[in-house]
Amino acid sequence: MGFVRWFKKDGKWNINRITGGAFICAALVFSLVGCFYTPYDPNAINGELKNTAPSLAHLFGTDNFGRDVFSRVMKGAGTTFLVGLSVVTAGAVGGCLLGAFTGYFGGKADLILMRVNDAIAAIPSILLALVFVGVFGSGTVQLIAALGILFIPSFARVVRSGFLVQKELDYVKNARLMGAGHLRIMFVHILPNLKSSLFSALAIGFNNAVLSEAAMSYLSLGVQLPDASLGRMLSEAQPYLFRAPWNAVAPGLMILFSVLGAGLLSLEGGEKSGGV
Amino acid sequence: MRYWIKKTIAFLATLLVAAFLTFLAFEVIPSDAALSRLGMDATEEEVAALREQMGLNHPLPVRYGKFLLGAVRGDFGESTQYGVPVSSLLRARFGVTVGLALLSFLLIVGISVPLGIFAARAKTKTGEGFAAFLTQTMMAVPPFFLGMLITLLFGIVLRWFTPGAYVPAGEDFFGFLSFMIFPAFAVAVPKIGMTVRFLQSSLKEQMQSDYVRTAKSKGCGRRRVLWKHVLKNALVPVVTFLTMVIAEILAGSIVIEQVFNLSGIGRLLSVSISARDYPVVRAIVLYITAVVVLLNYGADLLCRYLDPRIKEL
Repeated sequence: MGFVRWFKKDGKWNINRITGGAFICAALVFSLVGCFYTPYDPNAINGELKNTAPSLAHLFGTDNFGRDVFSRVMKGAGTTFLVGLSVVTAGAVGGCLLGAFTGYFGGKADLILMRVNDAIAAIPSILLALVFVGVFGSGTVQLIAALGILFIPSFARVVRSGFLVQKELDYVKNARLMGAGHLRIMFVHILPNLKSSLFSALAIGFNNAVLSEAAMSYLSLGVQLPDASLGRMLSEAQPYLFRAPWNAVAPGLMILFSVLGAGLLSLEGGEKSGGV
Repeated sequence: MRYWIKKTIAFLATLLVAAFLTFLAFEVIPSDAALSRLGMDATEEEVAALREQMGLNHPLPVRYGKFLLGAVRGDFGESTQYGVPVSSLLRARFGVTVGLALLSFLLIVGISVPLGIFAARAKTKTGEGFAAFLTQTMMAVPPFFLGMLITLLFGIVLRWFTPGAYVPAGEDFFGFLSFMIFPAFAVAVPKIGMTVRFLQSSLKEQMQSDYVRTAKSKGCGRRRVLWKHVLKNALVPVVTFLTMVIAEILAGSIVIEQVFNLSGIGRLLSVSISARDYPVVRAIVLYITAVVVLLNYGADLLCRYLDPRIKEL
């Protein structure tokens, strides 16, 4: 019941939310299937099928090495989403802890941490990620670590501002009087009340993570060969843009639809609770 | 204390901290600058001599002091990759990035402001939903994918420009414009989506406030309410937002320069990271951070000028 109602607004179907949900589900299923089954081996090289146009046998055509683009997009989307989800999880866990403690207790630590937070947030995350990769080398793990740390401030800010409002409310005082500990109040009582703003933050964070991963891999500083990732596929496709545009269009559209899906899902919840 | 004095002190302190962090980040790298320049088959004496010459044997604070002094004078050392001073590398690429950033910024402001006002006036739920869908789509396009599509459509199919044929603004300004407009557009589109969305929500918020009701009830026309009241009040958050957009443009140009084969600062950065050319990376990171910090400082002062009610820190 609650699930169906979530797709409605003022009694009418919310088209943006339905579209977003459909896009993101399709993209996730597509990449999940790609983990277990792809129509062709995504790395199999076939010299006779160089840059063939899309056909029934190869839905998105083949690339310069005769590899099936459809299979590669399935595999690459898996890598990209894995990076995106790991980054968002790391950022959300770190941000929730940081935001909860600073928002709930306040004081000097809050002041200092928020200053640091603002400083990090002012600098474009891709620049910091590039520095991180420059220092620690490039690879999937480094990329997840770099982006995960960089995404903490945005979550921390959302959670902190929620805590600042909630901690003054009566139910918190009630829980205090009934003898609940600070930790219990923070994570059992207050945190569930922030779920709608957290949900938007998660969706937006996922989008930023996917776009950053794609950009870093496009610059060959993210996911390394032989793993397929959507950004990497785009950079490989660029020299053959004229002869085989489907090489670039397929992974590009995959990124576009999944990011658009999560973006549409993030819309309403965020506006009501002040946004990110 | 006066507002601007406080802000200036905070600005300088932030700059120093940023410089220290940049310096520190490249100190912890598990590699030897002298060894990496000479290659693996250098003798120990050679490495030791070069270490002494490069000043790598001094204690950390001394090296930080030297780095800072050098940065102030525009001396960032020598590129390990090209063997020329970093500052000359930067100078040669400066114009491309600034041109790209300026052009994208003009596009963003020129397109988003009318669209944002238009979207804020949307009355029906369908109109609002459609505006939200459009802005989300713009934000979902990876800029480099858009860059490729633009290259494919306008460069290869329609032949409106020659991919990779960059003309410096000093030589042929119109040639420069007619090439740069395409990468600038690729940088701008996602940010236009962001800006329109931001303008829409902040204008909407203003339009629901009491002063708008008062202005309307004393007989002010719609147009006058928008231009004289709402836009003036919405200006401060918009200035802060646009500052962030400029920082994002600089970041976006790192990738777009690669797509359009422009030799700008961003391209130099990604190439230098791949080649582990740390003096160059350090200089560019410091440079972009300084620009971002400076922009925020300028925005703070400007906001205070626009709205004197802004509290002292």
